[in-house]
Amino acid sequence: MFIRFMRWPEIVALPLRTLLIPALLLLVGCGSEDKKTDPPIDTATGTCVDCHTDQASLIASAAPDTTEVPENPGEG
Amino acid sequence: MEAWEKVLVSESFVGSEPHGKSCVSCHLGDDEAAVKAEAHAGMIADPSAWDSPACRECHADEVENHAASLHATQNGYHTMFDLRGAGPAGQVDAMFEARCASCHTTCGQCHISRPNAIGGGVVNGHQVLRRPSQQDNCTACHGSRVGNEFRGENKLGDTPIPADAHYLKLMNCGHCHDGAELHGDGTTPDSRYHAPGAANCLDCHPEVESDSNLWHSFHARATSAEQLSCQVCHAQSYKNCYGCHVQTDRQGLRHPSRIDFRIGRNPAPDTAHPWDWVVLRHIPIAEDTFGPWGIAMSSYAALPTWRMATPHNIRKRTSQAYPGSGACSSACHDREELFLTEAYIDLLIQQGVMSTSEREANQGVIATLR
Repeated sequence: MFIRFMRWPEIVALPLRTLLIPALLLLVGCGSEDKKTDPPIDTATGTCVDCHTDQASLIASAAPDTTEVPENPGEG
Repeated sequence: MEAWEKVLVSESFVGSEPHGKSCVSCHLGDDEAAVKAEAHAGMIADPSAWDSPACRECHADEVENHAASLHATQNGYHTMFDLRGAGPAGQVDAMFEARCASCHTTCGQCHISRPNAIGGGVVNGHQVLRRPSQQDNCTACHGSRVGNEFRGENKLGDTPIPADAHYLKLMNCGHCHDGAELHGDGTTPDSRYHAPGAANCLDCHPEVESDSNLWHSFHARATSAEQLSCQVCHAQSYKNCYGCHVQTDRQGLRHPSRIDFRIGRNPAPDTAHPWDWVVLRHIPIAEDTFGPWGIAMSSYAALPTWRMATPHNIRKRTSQAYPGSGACSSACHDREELFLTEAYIDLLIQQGVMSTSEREANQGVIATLR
């Protein structure tokens, strides 16, 4: 059994190595696939269309219409 | 229109040429953001409003002309304010901006969405309509008189007043009031009757000038002894308002509108409107209509308060114009109830619908039956 006490540079380097590899993985797109709070974006169509052509989604998210519309508008 | 309907875009519009290719090219915002607030940051709801290049890029002439048009400037109101001495000027401007200016339209409020004055919202899934929708655009603003007349939604007592013959022929507003008239020519007319290219019956019915119809030869031509406007014979009873929006009753109106029909002398004859006799309608305000807003009209009765009208309920045969012997007298000439007379004005004053100052103002337009 070999027990080796770490020298001080290794004490500093070890946590850095611990963080560095995951960071590199993230940069190349190998990070977490959990996107529950960040829905994927269809870059081919853009989010304007995704929302504004989805009737069910608009109904679900629409705020109450508080527009004041005169009962009988019109100068003529 | 429900809130979601106002922003629902049809899939057929998306990507269509030439207007549906890119949302952000007109509306700005961020079409790569996944969160609504970020996507709408910097977005312009109505890119056809004044300073936007959205429409100007391809429709430069129309955009340029429209800026001076009546739909953009609402100059007809300002003409009236000036003529009737509305003031003080600053108060009039502030009132108009706060209460009336929302009715002016942008390109989009005729061709894409409903006018803001009635709550906005895209029409037909954001399709760009060459001819605005009669229901959602034209009569959305021009509804209480024109729209109801045109569609036959008025009643005289309990009797429905038939719709306009043009409506029944499936014509809509745009058939008579084309883009050239509505966009204008870059000048700002004083009123709708002075707009360049304003609709004229003779545009489609030139035969009136020369056909064998005796009534046309007697009454409808420049050579006639006394020339009548087309509406004198061919319009039906129409809505008259006397003092709306002041001292509200249960319906929110001072005096509910009245269905009536009054022939009188043309208050403002000119080259385009040369007739001796026209159909008249009382102006829709009383002298104190704008009093609650601190506005007085010092010259309210300086000119007639009955003005030329062009009711949009035209029929070939009406109660005052139908064939048959003796029809001239029985249908029209002997029917005092068709005319704006001194006696009728006295009655309206007595009922509190008109003020005494208006009696003198309207002397030049009342009819004196022989």
